[in-house]
Amino acid sequence: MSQNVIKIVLNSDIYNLEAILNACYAFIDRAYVFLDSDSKGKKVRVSLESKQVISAGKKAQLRGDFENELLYCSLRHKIGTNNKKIREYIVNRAIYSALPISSEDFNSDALKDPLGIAIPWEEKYGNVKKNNAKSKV
Amino acid sequence: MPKVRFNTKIYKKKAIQNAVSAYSNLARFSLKQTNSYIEVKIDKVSSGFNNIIIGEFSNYVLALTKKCL
Repeated sequence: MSQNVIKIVLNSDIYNLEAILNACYAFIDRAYVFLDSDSKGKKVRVSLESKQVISAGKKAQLRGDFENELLYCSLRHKIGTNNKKIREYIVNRAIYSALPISSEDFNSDALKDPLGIAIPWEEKYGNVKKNNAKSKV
Repeated sequence: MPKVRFNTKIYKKKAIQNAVSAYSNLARFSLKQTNSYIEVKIDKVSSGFNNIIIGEFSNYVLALTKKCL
């Protein structure tokens, strides 16, 4: 049974606990994963026990895959932390722009038309044209 | 009697309790908390699950802990 066990010690200053948990979670279909840490919480011990009997080559491959996954999860976590503010800003902006216009914003000033832009062309110049046509005849 | 110790710096107590209630129909669990560990003793395991129950239970606690984050 112990032949299938891989033990890895990780420094929690380098790898965030959330990244370690995410990497371990990706392996629960292939191995039994168990975590422990030292009293200071500086080192995290990961124990991966393959669910099936595997050769030394496969064991090394499992270890490599886990380390790659850990690096990937760590990078994702770092990018997520760095982009947190901009993500929140984008979502806030999207939600705010999707809100319906309140009655306070839509007050009487908004309906004023001092330049007469809202008046239809026929209404504004229709009579003038008719008068011009009559005068030509 | 098989037992497993979960470090409270890593695993959430709530996750362990939820996992115990989810696995309660497969075995009998008893929890004991020490300084920084929660010790889970497992007995009366249903036949056919003896070899895998600790591993699967640990994986389930890990999944629930990740969910709690």
